[in-house]
Amino acid sequence: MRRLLAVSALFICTLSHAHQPVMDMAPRWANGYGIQIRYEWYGSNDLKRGRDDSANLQGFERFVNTTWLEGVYTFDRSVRLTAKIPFVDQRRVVDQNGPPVNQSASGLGDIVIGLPLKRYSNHQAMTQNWSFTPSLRMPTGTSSGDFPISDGSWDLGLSLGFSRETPTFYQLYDLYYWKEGSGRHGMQTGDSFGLDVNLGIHPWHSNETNSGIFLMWDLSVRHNDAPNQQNLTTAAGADRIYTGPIFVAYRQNLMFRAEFKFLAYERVDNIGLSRGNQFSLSVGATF
Amino acid sequence: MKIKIFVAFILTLASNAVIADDYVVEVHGLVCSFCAQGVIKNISKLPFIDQSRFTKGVKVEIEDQKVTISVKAGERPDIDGLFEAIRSGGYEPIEVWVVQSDGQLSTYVR
Repeated sequence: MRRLLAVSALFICTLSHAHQPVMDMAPRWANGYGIQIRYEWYGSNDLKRGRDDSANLQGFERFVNTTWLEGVYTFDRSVRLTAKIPFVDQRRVVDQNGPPVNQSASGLGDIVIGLPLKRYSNHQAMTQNWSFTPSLRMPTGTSSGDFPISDGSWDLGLSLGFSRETPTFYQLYDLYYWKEGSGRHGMQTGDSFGLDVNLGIHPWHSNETNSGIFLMWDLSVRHNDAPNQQNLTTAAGADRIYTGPIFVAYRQNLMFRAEFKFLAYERVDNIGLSRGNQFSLSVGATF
Repeated sequence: MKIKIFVAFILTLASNAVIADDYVVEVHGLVCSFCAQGVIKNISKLPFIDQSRFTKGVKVEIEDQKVTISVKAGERPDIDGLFEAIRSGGYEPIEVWVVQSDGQLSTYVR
């Protein structure tokens, strides 16, 4: 039981999904490029057994802060190249066959390279695109220590997305799958797949200042296969559904995005900590 | 009073002269000004654009899918170059109009 808890206490596969959340909108022009800094936070001290809450008498918990540096280059509107570099700061309290143990780690995580291939169609007051994105996650994060940031594996991701936009409405659908490779020290993180849906409105903008806002609602569905018992990262098997608001403001070539994801449904394999709600802030610029 | 009328007349002439150098392009898919940065960037680099007006000589109106450009006095726009700048910005140019001195649009004949 305790070993099981130690192994599965902390979960979800890395936060880097296959799609590019803000940079999906831009740059869509040839030789355009963009950079973005995104801060992401999640954590909880709620213990789950399957779908049910469980008493957490020993005070187990896990909190993870990740700061992403993201870049995108657009060759032309149908081909982009993206890179996402995380800096992870994580801590947890776990059971290791004795009193609860505090563990923490910080450092560079796994770099994700993506190649979004897009097919646009422009109509009078509407633009839409299908995107197919192969991605590669490289094991640049440390896989050593008692709370490794990475499992040390090379992973492959694929996503299929569709977005449509009018002057007043925006919608995005993205389905992704990550195939996890074999990691170092015998670690094997489970595969994952998910669906993201963003529906929103564009309630205000100014042609004079080239500024405006988007208000959107997000629905995120996640499934993670269980990792093997050698895995000591935050990975764990689970199904989750998040939902929450997204606020986006832009002016000229600058964009700000704030997102809150409320954990509406969660089922963990065996027993483990809840992932909790998620909050993120990002600032980006395109050129 | 005469001076005021004279000043108003001169201002009207000046205003009309500026309007006469404006052109409007219908652009399909142009629904987000943040995403249209490339259109503004590409058009503003064209040699006949008067960058002193609008945003570097370009105004994007996403409600009507229109891009207004300000052309330097005495110059004619290179429509092929203009359309290529818009396509390279990710959108589809459809038609060009000239803004007449009374503000009305007329079809531009190359």
